[in-house]
Amino acid sequence: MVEKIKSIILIILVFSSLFLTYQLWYGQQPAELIAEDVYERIIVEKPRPLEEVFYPAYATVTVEGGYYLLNEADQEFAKIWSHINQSLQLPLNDLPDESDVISDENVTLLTLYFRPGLPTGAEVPWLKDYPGNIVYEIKLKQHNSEIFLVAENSAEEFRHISVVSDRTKNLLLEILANIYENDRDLYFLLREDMFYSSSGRGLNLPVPLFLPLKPAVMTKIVLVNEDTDRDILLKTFFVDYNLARVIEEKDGGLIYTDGEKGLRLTSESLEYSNPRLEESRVTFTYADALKNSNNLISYHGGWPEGLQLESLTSTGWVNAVSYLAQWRMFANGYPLYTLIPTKVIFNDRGLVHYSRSLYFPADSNVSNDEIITAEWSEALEAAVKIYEQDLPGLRTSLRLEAMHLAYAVNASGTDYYGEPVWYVQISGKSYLLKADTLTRVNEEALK
Amino acid sequence: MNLERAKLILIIAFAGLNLFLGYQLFWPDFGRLTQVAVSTEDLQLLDELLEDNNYTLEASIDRSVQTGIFMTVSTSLEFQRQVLLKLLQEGAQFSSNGDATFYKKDDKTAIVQSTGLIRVLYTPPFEPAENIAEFEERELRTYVENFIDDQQLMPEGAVFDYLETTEGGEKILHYYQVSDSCPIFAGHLKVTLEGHSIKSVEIYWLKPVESEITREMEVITAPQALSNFVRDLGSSAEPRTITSVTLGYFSGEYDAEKWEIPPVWRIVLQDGQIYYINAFTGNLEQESVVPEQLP
Repeated sequence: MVEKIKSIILIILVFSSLFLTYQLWYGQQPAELIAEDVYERIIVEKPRPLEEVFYPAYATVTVEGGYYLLNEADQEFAKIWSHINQSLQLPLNDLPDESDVISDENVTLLTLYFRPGLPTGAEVPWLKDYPGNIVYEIKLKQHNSEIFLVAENSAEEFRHISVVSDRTKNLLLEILANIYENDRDLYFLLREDMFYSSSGRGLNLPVPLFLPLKPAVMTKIVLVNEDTDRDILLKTFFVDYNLARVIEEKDGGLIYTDGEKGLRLTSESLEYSNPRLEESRVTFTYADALKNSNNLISYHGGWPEGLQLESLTSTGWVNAVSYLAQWRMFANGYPLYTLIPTKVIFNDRGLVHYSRSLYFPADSNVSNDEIITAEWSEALEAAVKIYEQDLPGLRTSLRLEAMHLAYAVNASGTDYYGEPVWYVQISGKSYLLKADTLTRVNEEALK
Repeated sequence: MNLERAKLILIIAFAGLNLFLGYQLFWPDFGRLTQVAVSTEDLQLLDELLEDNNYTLEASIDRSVQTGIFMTVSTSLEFQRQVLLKLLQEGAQFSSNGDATFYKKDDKTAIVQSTGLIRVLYTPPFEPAENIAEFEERELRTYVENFIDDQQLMPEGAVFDYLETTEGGEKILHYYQVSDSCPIFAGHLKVTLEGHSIKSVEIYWLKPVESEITREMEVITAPQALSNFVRDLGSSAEPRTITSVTLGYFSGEYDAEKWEIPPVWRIVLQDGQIYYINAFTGNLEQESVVPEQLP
């Protein structure tokens, strides 16, 4: 009997030692008391080279009776910019006599407008021999049999002229010939003497404004939600994802915060804030700021189709200076006005604020409801009336800072759409007016 | 050697082997459970740091390794309903201005904020028959607790915190919420007394919600929390005394469906100031960081 018990004990001991050896050998997971390793590799979109993401805001092609307006929606625009982009990256050739080219405005074939400005110098791909300058306009001028590129800033403090190579010249002339052949909406350059409001006030134009000569035909556009991977997005903002707590809002939005920084995610937008980083300075240059803003978009959500940098400015005060970069989504060549546009505020300490809408135009976004837009002068008059109601008693001239057709983003249930509007900005005040009826669209009610 | 002897030797050998393997496998965790997270050296260093920065510690320090989770909570609608039902049964009239709802009956007005905060105001202040202004703290507490019980304003799990006397002479009795033996400092009840009258009762009560995922993590030690507290606040110009360092849960008030609240070390100073150090991140918990629309 005793021998039997001994045998059983021995068998149990042998098997338990085998089991324990297995556990020890292959590593039993210890009780999880500490957050898992948080520094995991997060795959985000690689920052794109600056020359790939930086575009002129628009281009004008000089034609009889006005201009054709080109922007990212036009294939020709991309081709023109591609050739000029390459020319600006090449070593400079002999400079021609400036006076011959500059003096004659009639020989301007096209003009590229940059908002924000195109930086030059060794840190960026363009005009490496001209460090620290910012170009706002590039004109393509024809003089005798040559084509010249004239790059200048708005104050004309800087001007660079170069001769376009024969190959590029031929390619550009071919694209221009295509543009001349096709019928397009004609635009004109607004002059201050072209408009007086019914209250007798004249215009002041700080920037060149091109407006359609005739009413345009537009349609509502359909927008679709961006398919974002929330977990990855979250990990790009919080190094230690485990330490972020969640607040579930009544409208379905989610706020993630670790007590220092916060991220609000809804089905239509994201907003990030790290107020503790506000107090800082910026020691980097405009060109570096441009690269940083480009990188930040790549890291935090990537580049949606049609997103274009609209402005890059320094903001803040003595001990809290940052760069503010603002992007605008474009569809069919028109900008989209939304409640939460894409904005980034950053400084030497890092990302302070970031906001972005999470939708983009659908592939087949044109609906059948065509509208004919109101005339520019009617739209401007309507905007001036609202401006005068908002600020009664102001009797200075009207500083018209921007005016163009656009889309205002709205929703019907869960369906998002862009409604055609006139966008008018007078002395810092912006107005959205329905493109046909000119009734005011409340900017706070946008989606 | 006979078989019996061989068996015995093998039993002893395998028993020894099993003990060795068991020790190798389980000792790290066993050690963690019995481990003291705060050494005497740590306490000495903390004392020096506090002294250098003009703080004195007059509170006991928990020296064991502790863990915590993000506790999911929502506003306690059950308690809110109970308070409001009583008011409506008493014949209270209600009105709303968007962010708040008002329930008024005679000299009593209950204001319910969208965040779930309930404030009951007595206008004119309620005057008890006894002169409570002359009561000792214990006597006053008993009286006030009986009063709010009568008014059905006492939530379950309220624990007396401290009595505050304001510069204007008002006395405020502070209570915090305890759920499953766990202090939730975000949940609170405040009774304000003016002279010998009861002026108002403020209640913000939370309900722990079952969460699908619980991430249990080790929290920082109390000395680490105190070091971070000194780092964030800097040296004190006047000598200040720390009277209590307690682990619990805290967050701001949110107008939300439900939210997670982190474990915190609550540091109470003798002058009545209270600070919360996030026990996961070690950061001072300040105003909630909720992204706002950019300028």
